[in-house]
Formats: sequence, structure tokens, C-alpha cells
Amino acid sequence: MLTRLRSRIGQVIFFSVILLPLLSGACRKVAIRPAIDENLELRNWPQFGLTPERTNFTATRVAPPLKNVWIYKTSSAVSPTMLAVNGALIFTTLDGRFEILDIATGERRGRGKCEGQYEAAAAYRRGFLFFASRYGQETLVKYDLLSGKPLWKIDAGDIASEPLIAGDAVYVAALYHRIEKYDFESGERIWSFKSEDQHRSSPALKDDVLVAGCDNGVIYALNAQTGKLTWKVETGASVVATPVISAGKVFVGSNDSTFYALQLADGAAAWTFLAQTPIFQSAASDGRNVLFGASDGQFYCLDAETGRERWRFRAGSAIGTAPLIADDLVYFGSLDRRYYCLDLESGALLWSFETRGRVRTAPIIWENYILGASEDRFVYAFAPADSLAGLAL
Amino acid sequence: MFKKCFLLLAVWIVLLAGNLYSQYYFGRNKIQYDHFDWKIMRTEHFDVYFYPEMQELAEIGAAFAEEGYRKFESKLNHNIPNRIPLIFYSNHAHFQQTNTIPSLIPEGVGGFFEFIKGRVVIPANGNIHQFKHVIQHELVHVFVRSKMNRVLKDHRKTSHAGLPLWFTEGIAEYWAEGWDSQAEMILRDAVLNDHLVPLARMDAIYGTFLMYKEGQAICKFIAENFGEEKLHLLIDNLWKVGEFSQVMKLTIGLNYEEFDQKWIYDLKKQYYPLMQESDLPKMVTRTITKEGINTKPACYSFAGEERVVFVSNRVGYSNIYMKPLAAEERDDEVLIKGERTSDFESFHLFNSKIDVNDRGELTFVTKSGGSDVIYVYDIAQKKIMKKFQFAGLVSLASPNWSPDGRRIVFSGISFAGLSDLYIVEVETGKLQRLTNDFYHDHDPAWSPDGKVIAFSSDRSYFGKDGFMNLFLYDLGQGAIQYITKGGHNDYAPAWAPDGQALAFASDRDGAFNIWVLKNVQAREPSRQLAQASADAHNSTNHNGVNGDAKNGDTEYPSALAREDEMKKLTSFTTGAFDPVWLNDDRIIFTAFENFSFQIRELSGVQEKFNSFVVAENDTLVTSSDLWAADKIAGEVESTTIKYKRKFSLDIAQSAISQDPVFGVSGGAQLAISDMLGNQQYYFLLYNNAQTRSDFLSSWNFAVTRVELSRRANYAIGAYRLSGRFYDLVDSFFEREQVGGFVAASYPLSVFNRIEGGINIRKEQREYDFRGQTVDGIVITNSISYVKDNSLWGYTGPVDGERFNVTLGHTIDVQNNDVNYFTLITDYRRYFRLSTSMTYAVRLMGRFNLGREGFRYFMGGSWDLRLYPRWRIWGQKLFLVNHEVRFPFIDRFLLGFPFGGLGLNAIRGAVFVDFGQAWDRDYQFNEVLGSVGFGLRLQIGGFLVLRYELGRRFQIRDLDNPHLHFEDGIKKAFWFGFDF
Repeated sequence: MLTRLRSRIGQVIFFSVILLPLLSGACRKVAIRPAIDENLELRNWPQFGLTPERTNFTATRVAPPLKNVWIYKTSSAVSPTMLAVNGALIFTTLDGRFEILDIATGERRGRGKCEGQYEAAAAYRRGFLFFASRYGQETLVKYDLLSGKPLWKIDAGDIASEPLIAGDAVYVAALYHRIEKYDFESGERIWSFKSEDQHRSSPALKDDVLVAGCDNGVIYALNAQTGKLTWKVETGASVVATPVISAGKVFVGSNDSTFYALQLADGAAAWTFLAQTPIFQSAASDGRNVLFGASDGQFYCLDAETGRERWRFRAGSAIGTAPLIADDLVYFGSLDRRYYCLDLESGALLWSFETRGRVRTAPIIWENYILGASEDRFVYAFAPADSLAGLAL
Repeated sequence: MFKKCFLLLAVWIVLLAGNLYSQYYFGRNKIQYDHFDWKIMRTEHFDVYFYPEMQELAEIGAAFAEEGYRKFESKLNHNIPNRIPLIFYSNHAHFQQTNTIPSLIPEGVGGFFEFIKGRVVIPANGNIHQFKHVIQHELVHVFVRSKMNRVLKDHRKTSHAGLPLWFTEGIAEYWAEGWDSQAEMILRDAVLNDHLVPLARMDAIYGTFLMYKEGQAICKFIAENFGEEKLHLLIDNLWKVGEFSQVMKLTIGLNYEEFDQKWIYDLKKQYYPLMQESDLPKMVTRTITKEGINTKPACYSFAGEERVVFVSNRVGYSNIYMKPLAAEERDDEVLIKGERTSDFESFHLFNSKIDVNDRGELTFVTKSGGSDVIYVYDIAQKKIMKKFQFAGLVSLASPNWSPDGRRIVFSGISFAGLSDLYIVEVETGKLQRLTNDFYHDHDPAWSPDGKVIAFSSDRSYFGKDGFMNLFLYDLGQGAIQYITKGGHNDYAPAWAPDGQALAFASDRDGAFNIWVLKNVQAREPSRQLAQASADAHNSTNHNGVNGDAKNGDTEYPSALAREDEMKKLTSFTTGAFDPVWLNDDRIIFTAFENFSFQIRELSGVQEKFNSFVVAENDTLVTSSDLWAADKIAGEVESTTIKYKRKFSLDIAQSAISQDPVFGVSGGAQLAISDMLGNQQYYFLLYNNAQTRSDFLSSWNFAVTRVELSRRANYAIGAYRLSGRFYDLVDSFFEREQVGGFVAASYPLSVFNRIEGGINIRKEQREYDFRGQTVDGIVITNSISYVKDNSLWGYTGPVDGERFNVTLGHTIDVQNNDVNYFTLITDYRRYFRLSTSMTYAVRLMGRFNLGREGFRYFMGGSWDLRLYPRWRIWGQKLFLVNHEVRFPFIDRFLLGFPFGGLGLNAIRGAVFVDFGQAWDRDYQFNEVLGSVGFGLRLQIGGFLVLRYELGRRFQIRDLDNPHLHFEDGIKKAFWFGFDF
């Protein structure tokens, strides 16, 4: 069993990824070689929500019961999102650092701290990381993993949301009332849309429609080519959750306690669902179901077409993360310190794991691993118990 | 320096045990009048501490707490990982006995969140909605503090100053209560009377009630104009910058100054139009009082002279005053002095009305010992005629005479926390209970015909949201009828002399004003409804719910008829309360204005009544009047277990120092206590070796156990203290003390106590200078009587008196080398010369009589001023201080680019001191003295800086005394509160 596991992991780790020894200190000293195998990149989790539509859905199935493979202690609480790139787990911390871990072993491959970077979220594409910073002078940075150097740094305003990479562009929704598109290569701003309030909701993209929520309760849909407003819909309170685009609809929860399903084409309401409390977290959808959690600890599965409630599950506290749909399973975390795995069809609890702190980091999947983090500086990797049999942990 | 600190700590711990509360030397007493059989109820998120008598109230409180937890968890998207200790008391008098904090709890404190153990400590006060409000207010503090700490920890901002007080209190009040008529009244007043303090200068009112309410208004403004989420974003963004003004800039785009522009402009737009149709009370009514806070008027006539009696705190203490209305030039007469003796500890300035009958007999409530009492006081004879204290009734309020003067109706809160109406027969003291349920019944007013009692209560359907409406209790039928009903507050009903009209205070149009309802009387209710109301008030199931109510079809019958007229009598911009009829055309009331409460007179009542249009009577239809508060048992499985003491840390700190001469020293101190603070342990351990060879012999430790759960407190402890000391007489010496002690303190009242202790120690001294070693087993016994009813200003006492007399005996039972008696007397008296000026005098003598009595030291700013510190010594000492304290600068505000610093008043003083110390070696041949002027500045509530200058003098040759002034002006700068 040990040999077989090593073989599977080894294929990924030892033949696809070459992680150069990374030096601590300034970010320019951190280097990681990107994957050469494009097929491997397809298995990556390169940005929040996995795809530009932010569906948080993958057909990869990691079935419980899961065992905790390793725990890694980092410098501070981990940001709400993490990336899995070619066998490496990349995450940022709220004290402005980023770290790269070997997913198989949990060993640190590198870490860095860029000047002025705080509470950065990141996205990955073709060997480059894009950091968005919540506060500072250079809030959007393109970072070359190979050289370990930033290629460009621009002042894109304070950014509290996740950058979106699609095509040759980077999209950001910023706190200074802007949704903007930047050139992937040069960092040149292509267009800027001025909204009416701060954005904490990250943009999602399908075809040429870019959708983002706003603190004034408005959901904006822009033409991704021109940055012109296509439609907008007002909700009753701030929209801080990131929209999910699936099955021709935009799914997003609002702090007015309502979950909205809007037609992607024109913003017309397909249906709404009233939760009892504000919805801070993003949803996930496999096209048939849409799932989200609310701040009262209720986790809902709705029919994506009709909005009919299929089932609900009550966690011990507010739902702290976006869900991850992994084939017929759904993973999410809660402020009750637990990661949960439910059966997508029935909502039955299949597995849960109590971490050492509140869970605010969305689970992601890479190969046979579920990866997550808790608020008290710990990063976790889980894998099916049967795949670990015989492996000394 | 380090060693000195530890030695001071060691001494402090020993003294703590020796004197318990008298570690403050003086000080009032927190008394455990009652023994509580504590239990813990575990709910989903809370450990609820309660005593069995209040179990139902605790279950209701637990439900409020869980409701609040869910609410704030959602609002802040945050949770509390640990169980929250929630300590309930059924009333304020019990709450004042809590040992969870060492300080005395003033009457105005409605609850608190204590940071060290994370305890939330809350009393009920009879009003369920208010109970909920306080629980949720404190819970906001718990969440906000937890969230703030999390944010700062995540971003590694450990040195951040945190959230400003105006914000933490403002958001707690706003999220717990939203906006209410009290907040509205205070903001209206601040804007219209031009004393609103901008956010940028909030330091000027730091910690005041006005700051709390402005904070609430600011949070409301942010929520309404920028979105509710911005309030918790202000916490989320705290880590980014140090100044909260900049956090606001980042969050809502406005810093303090920019915010002030918008906020104050908005307030003016909102409130200035009120002046069109409303009045400031001072402009349209007659002024009766001017200074301090004056409330709860009652009127009567004596020999044709109209008089008003009221409660006031104009001198700092609360007193009951009498003022003849016709003689404005006469000073108000003090009838009863309060807050100085255990007979009249507190008049409940804002909570309890007073009443005077036709015979000039005043009835009022005051706290006396562990519970309230009702007094009957003959104003003409200036004599207490009756005193009523009822077993099982802890808090009393608003006594009101029956028309024949033979009975008094009042509201009382039981040990279980129920607030109901009672009647006491004045002659016999026989008590009759009128209501018995969880509703809050208050402000009873007996009708002139003696048939009904009007009162304010939350027993209508709207009471669930905290609204108080008016009701009639029909004494003939034993039934309750409603007078008003609706989502507004109606307080303090008062019958007109002819019984045909009822005046009351109501906030039904947004601000509290005087309203009058004419022709009100008990109607003949239908049999079914009368029975329903009788069932309601006779209910013994303690939540006011009977079978009918559960079916949702029970209403109180109305006491109103179609012809009844309800009209608004005043239209004040701010507030009017507690109306009482002087005669059919004049009403005396309390007005809120300029952030103060004053007694005022409204005349021309009939004309005013006729000129106002009739308001619609309260005829709102509700499905049911009776309501019941949720209890936790229905929602969450609760487990009740008996309270067992479990200790946790209060203080833990260690220190280490290196000195080139004295080497390395290190040590630690620790304090632990149980959740209720009733049992406390103090530990001290340190080493003060100067050389390696001294290490083993230089360990110092002290351990003390203090037991505070009963009225008699005691402490036991043991210690070993060794070190090198310097004595002005004996030079350097090494001393080692190993001993133990027992001490006890018994408070006779809040103001005085007896305390004593025994200290046994083996002591050894090695004198460098003498080359001599002495040792022995020394026993010290002492007993003290301490009194303190002083009233404090910014820098020290301004009124009252303090007294300490101590007798002690110390003997060396091994060698009899030491054998002396100790007598200490210290009397301090403070005479008010005016509201802000005080003459203070201290007479102190300290005497050690016998062999080897230790020497007292004197000199410096704390005793004999302008003399070198502690340079006057002897086994006997006397000291006399005279001082006149007066205001020098009322307010001192410093502005810095990074923020303001508001300093409290700078006080001035002129003083004359006399004193001397003497013994066998130092003869008493002259009296030392000083005269001078001083300034005192209080900083942060705990530190007073003192500057003194003047001249020293001596009275020489006591057989033929003459005064000698030393040359030159002496100056001294030191710290410490006034004596």
C-alpha cells in the first residue's frame, strides 16, 4: 500500500513539479518552477472557485472517511482561499506573507513577504501568481514563480476580494468603488468601472459577462470586453459573497438574508430563497444544485432550476467558507471549528473534523487531498483513510 | 528598583491579609448580606450562574442570551469559542454584593462584562425587557472584543490601542436596543441646547453617559447612511491604521472631522424644525430647582403654604429637600440626608417616587442594609415615624399614600426577581400583595376616592417589546383594566385632586411629555374579562400566563369610555416626567434639559388641556394582552448542576532584572479566584540574592487565602520575607521573617467595620552598624474600627468623614525584647463650603508605647507638606492638616495632531499643616508646620499629580512658644490623592 501511495504521489510530485529551494525573506527570493505538463495544470486549483465562473465544483471525488495527513503551523491566520498548483499548496496569511507547501508531505517549500502586502489573496496562471492586497500602495502584484521576482506592481486601490484570471486579463473588484480589468502581461489597466460603494465580493465571469456584488447591495454585470454596465440588480443589503455562474444563472447571497438566482443574460430574477440570517459566504453549484451556508449555521442545498430547498444541514456555528462540490460530495467549514463532508444527494453527514480554530478558509481539492486551514494558524491536509493504510504518519 | 517593587508587593500582600478591605486603610464595605446557593445552568453557549430562588428568571435570561448570541453571531459573522460565564442576580441589591469585581457597584451600573475571566454579570430589575437589554448589551461587548482581538491577532497588531470607548459602548447600545426615546431625548437636548460634542472632540466627555448616547447615535447614523455592515467593517479594518479616525476614513470614506460635518448637519436638519411647534421647558414653565439633578417631586400644603418635596443630588450625596413654592428666596430645606448612614443609603434618584399625604407625612424608599425600606417621616416634627422592611422583598419603589393616610401602595421586587404591587397597613405593618406575576408593575397611584390604583406596567401585549402602559387595579373587584395600550411608554400616573383626571408621562409622540386623561374610572367589566384579568394577576405560575392566555383570547378590559378625553399637555423638545398635581390647574414635574433634571411648574393646566385637540384613545386591538417570555428550557436542553468552586487565573506576571551592583533578581506573582470571586488566592515568589552564595537563603514567598463569601470576611496566609534593608537610625541590616497570619473583617454597614488580626512571625535581624544579631518570635495583635462615608471629587474627598482607630500589641514571646502597644487614630472631616469648595481637616496620632516599637515616618506631600519626604520620625507622631479645596481650572483639553487629551479639572488648595514625631531619641521640643498653596491634576482616574509651594515654619520653645518662618519658598512635586 505504501508503495502504491508513493507511486501515485510520486508521479505528481517528483516528475511534474520541481520546487526549487526557497529562501526566506523578501518575496523576490522565492522561486517555484511551473509545471511543464499542461494536463497537470488542468488538475490544479488555480483561483478561488476553481474556474472563472467560481462554481467551486470539481468532478474529482475524495471520499470520506478522511484522515488528517499533516498539520502545518504558519505565521498567522490563513486567507479565505488557497491554491493548489502542481502538487504545491499556496496560501497567503493575514499578516501579509505567502507560503508554499508540499501537498504530499506538508513540508514548506518556500515563503515570502512582499513589502506592503497584507491579507493578500492570490490567483495562479502559467507560472505566475497574482496577489491582491487589502491595504497598501502596490495592491496588485504579478509574481514570477520561476524567478521569484515580482514582474509588475500597480496601485489598484485596496482590494479585499479575489482577483479573477481569465484569458489574458486579470479582473479585480476594489474597495475604492471600482471594478477593473488589467492586462495579464503588462499590468496595464484596460478599463475601469466606477460603482457606488466598496467591493468585497469577488468578480465571476462567464463568456463576456463579468458579475460582482457591492457593499451597497447592488449586483453589477458588466461587459468584460468594454467594462460597460450590462445590468444591475439591487438587493436589500451588502453583497459580500462572490457570485457563482452556472446553468445560465448567477447565484449569490446577500446580507439581506436572501439568496438570489438571476438570469445571466439580463439579471431577471429566476427565483429567490429567504434564509433567516445574512449570507456572507459564496455558493457552489454543479449546475443541478446550488449550495450555500448562512451566518446562523444553516447550510442549504437548493434546486438550481427552481430554488426549491432540497435539504438543509445545521452546523454548530456560522458557515465560514464557500462549499466545495466534489462529485457527489460537498465540503465546507464552519466557525464551530469543523470541516464537514455531506452527501450531496441527501445532505447526510458523512464526515467532520474538528480543527484547532474557527474555519474561514474554503476547502480545496488536489488529487487525493482535501486541503484547508483554521483560524489559529494551522493548515490541514486530509486524504481518504484507505489510501493511507500502511503509511506511517 | 526591582527589589523594591517586590518588597512593596510582599508588604502589600501581608497587609492585604491583615486588613482585608482595609488595604485601602479607609474605604466603604461591600457586604454579603445574603447567602446564595449558586447553581450553574449549561446552555448551548453559556454557563448561567444563578440561585434557586430565581431559576425561572435565569431560564428567561438564558433564552435572551442565546437569542442575542445568534443575533450577534450573524451580524458579526463571528462566534465565541469558549462558553461564556453569565452570572445573574435577581435584583440590583444582590448584584451590589458580587465579588466578581472588588470595587463597589454604584446604583447606575446595570451590568458589566469583566475581561479577565470573560464574565458577564447582570442583575434583573423587575423589568424583563430591561433584563434582555442589559444581557444583549453586554453580549455585544463580548462579541466585539473577541472579534477585535481576533482581527488584531490575525494581523499581528498586538500593540494596537483597540476600539475607542464611544464606539464599543455605542455599538453595544445600538445593537441591543436600537434607538429609544431616552436616546432621542438626550440627542435632541444636546443639539437644541448646543452642547453636542463632535466626534473629533469626544475625549472631552470620555466615559460620560453623554458619550455613550452620542456613540449610540453615531452608530445609528453610520448604519442608516452607510449600511449596517459598516459597523462591523470598522472592527475588521481596525488593524490597518492606529487611529480610529483613519479607520473610519477607510471604511466609510470620512474621518472624524468629515463625519462631524455630515452627522451634525443631519442632526440639525432633524431637530431644529422641532422648535417650530415645541418648547424648551425652561421657556414656558416656572423654575423650581436649578442645581444638580432633581427628581420625583411630591406636593402638599402646610398652613396654607404650598410645598414641594423632591430628591436631589446637588451636593453629591442624594438628599430629600423641601421647598415652599411661594418663597423663592428661601433656601431649600434638607429633610433627610442620604448616603451618609446605613439608615439612608440610597434614595433611588431615578427609580422611586416619593409621596406626602395631607397630614404632611412623607413616605419614601431608601436602601438600608441588604434591602430597601419604606419610611414614614413627619415633616413638621422632622421625625421618622415608621419604618417598614419586608422579608422576601429586596427592592422597593414609589410608595403612594391611600387617601385616608392609613395604607401605602408600592412596588416591590422579591428575592426571586418578581416586580409586583403591594399594600402595607401603616398602623400594623400588615402586607397585602396585589399582583403576582412576571410583569413589571410600577409607579402605583391611589385614586382620591380610594377605589382604584393606577399603575404603569408591561402587562399589555406591547410589554413584550418593553413598552409600559397604564392600568387600573380595582380594589373592589380585584380586577385589572387597561387605561392605555400601545407601542409606547406611559409612566408615573398621577390623579388630579378631584379624581377626574389622570396625568402621566408618555413618549407616544417621540419624546416624553405630560399627557392628561380625563374622566377615567374603573368600568364594570364583563364577567368573563374580569375573571381573566383576575386570573392574570392572581396567577402563581410566575410568568403571568394562565390557560386563557395560552389560547390567545384574553384581553384586559378597558377602563376607558367613548367620552374620555386624552390630550397632550406639554410639547417639549426634550422630556417631562413624574407629574404631580399641585391643584386642579397646576402640575409640578421633572424636566430634562441641558443634560440635567430639574423640578418645574406648569400652570394653566385646564386652559392648556382645552386648547389641545383630543388624541385618539388607545383602543388597539390585539389578539392577547398576556404574554410570556421565552425560557431556555423549551429550546435548548439545559443541565443544572450545583456550583462548585473552580479556580482560574486573575493575574500572572513575572519579572527579571539585572543590576550591575545587586546582580540578577527574578520572581513571579499570581492571583487566582473562583468564578464568583468569593475565594481568592494570592501567591508571590521571588529571589533577591545579591551573591551566588545567598541564593538559597534569599527566596521570598507569600501566600494568602481570602474568603469573601460571607458577611464576615477572613484571610489566612504564610510568608517568608528576607532582604537587606536600610533604617535611618540603624543603617543597613539583614532581616528575615517567617510567619503566618489570620485576619478578619466584619462590616457593620456599608460605612463602618471592625477588623482585626493576629500575625505570628519568627524574625531575625543582623545589623551592620551595630554588629549585632537579634531574633525572636513576634506576635502582633490588632483591632480596628473604620468608618468612611466620604464623597469623592476628582482629586480626593469633598464631603463626609473618615475615621480609623486601631489598637495593637506586639510582643516577642521568645526573649521579650519587643513589647509595645500601638494606638493609631486618624480622623478626617470634609465640610462643604459650597458646591465646589471644601474645607478638609485631618487629625492624626500614631503612638508606639513600649520596648522596640517601630518608628513612624512623616514628611512630604502625603502628610506634613513642604518637608523632605519621610525625614521626620519617631515612635510617636501627631499631624494636623487644614486645607481649603477649590476649583482652579474646570476643564483642560490638550489637542495633538494624533488626537486630543481631555484632562479633568485642575483643583487648587491652600493649606496649613502642623505635626511632629518624637521618642526617646528625638525629643518633642517644637512643632513643625507649613503653609502654602497647591495644585492637583487628576489623570486617567487613578493618578493625581500634586504641586505645592509655600513656607515652612516652626513653633519653637513650647514653654514660651514663638513662631519662626524659614527663609525661602519651598516647592514639592509628587503624586497622590488628597487626604
